Amino acid sequence: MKRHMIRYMLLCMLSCTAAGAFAWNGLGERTIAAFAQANLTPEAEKRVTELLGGTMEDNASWLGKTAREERFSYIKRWKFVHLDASLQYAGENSEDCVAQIERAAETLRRGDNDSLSVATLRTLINLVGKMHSPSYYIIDGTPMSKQFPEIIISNGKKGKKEEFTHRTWAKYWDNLLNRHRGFSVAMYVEDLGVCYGDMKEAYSAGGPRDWASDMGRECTALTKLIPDIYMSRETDNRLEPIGYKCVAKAGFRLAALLNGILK
Amino acid sequence: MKRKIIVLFWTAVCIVAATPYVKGWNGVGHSAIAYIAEQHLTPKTERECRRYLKHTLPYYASWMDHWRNCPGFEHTSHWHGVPVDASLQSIRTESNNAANQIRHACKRMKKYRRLSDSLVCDNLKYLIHMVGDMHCPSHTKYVDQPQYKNYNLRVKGKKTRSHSFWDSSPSFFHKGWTCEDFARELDTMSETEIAAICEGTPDDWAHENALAMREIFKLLPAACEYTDLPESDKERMREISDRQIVKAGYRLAAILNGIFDPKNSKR
Repeated sequence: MKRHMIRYMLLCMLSCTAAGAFAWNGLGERTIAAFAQANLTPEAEKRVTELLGGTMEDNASWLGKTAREERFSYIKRWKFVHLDASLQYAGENSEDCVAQIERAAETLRRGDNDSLSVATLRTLINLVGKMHSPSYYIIDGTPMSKQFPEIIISNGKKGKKEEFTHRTWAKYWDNLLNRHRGFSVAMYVEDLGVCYGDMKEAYSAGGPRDWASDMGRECTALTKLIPDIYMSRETDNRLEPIGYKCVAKAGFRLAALLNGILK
Repeated sequence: MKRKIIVLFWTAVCIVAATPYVKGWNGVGHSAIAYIAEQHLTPKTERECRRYLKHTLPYYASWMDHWRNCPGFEHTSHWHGVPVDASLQSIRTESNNAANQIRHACKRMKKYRRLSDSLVCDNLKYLIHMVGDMHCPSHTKYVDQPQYKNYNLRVKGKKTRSHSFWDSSPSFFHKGWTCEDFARELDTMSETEIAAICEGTPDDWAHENALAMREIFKLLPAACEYTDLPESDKERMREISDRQIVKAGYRLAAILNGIFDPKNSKR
């Protein structure tokens, strides 16, 4: 516990200076944060604003930028989520995403001091988003990125006009929200509310371990849609709503977590 | 040398990876049109559109482009432009004609309550995209006038097709703009002006576009280098692109209001 406290203290030092991305790209992270903020209770939103001195969206990529510093490079290990074959959380003894979320939530709940709370809040904003990307799931010891080291996506045209886009598994999900060109974060927030507003209660239920299992089921559903590394345009189109749903879940769950802590 | 090759390779990879799939107006143009339209829906129309789409209008703005090459959707692949005859009238006998398909969709949607939810949703997705596409400057097909065909030109030395130039004109003329930027800057007309733009039928709009869009062939001649063109011509091209976007947005809203809230539709 002391070791983790020291790490968060180190993060605190940076929290005043750093303001980048790992898992979802910056747009995805900001969208999840803004969607979560739109679903906070008034009490939680007041406390979040007091701590951050700005919006959750502004602080969404702080952890990713921090992780780029050599001395904080250990943060990069926090992106993985370990599940066993039955899709139950299996990362208790690791430094994975869920473990860090649980530690950060506990630290924020204790609220020992504001600067520590700021760093843990910023950490939570990023990690709850990250754990809802299929990019870094390790199921029964096999990373999704190993199962799909490369995805080759067809533009759907026939003959000489057919072209392919090569993506890594992580990059594919990073770029999910780039599909809707010209969208601002506010537009995504509005659309997510229209599309998933009536699912708020259902998606928010449970805790980080339940959410990890749920994401495991989403990952399993994804693998059934992708027969091999060659992906048709149709498959590409069918994957997008699944990823989009994960973005909505991330926002609702981040809000639920913070609403529960910052009462 | 080796380093140069590596840099060039990764630059090419980045360009390919960043290339969007969308056609017609590029994704930005379609999203902006749908966004502008959404600002002009009556509350009832907006509610009904969201009930059937389960999304906002811009979410489905490029849906037809995403699916046009997928099994079962090939027949929609040519519903993105408007062929016009020698008198610049939309060819009504041509099924591969966005104006005709808009008319058909509007007719089906007149009795939308009798249609299944998924059919209403599909017709909405078609309308959102096709009303945008028929206003894209390069999407009028002058069937009997070979002088108004797709041709090559250069932009900063890079070879491109005139069709591609106009498809990407929203992001070319307004780099980095979001839909909100387009709405703020372009959606500035008075109610009277908007009502005048929305008068008529899709066939009338197709004819108006066919008359007006001949200008783009003078402004952007075949084999030209865009960069060398007079600034006044570049400005005029930007104006044309902007005006087509905002017109399409107003007209899409008018069509949807006419379907879902005819009593309050200003058309």
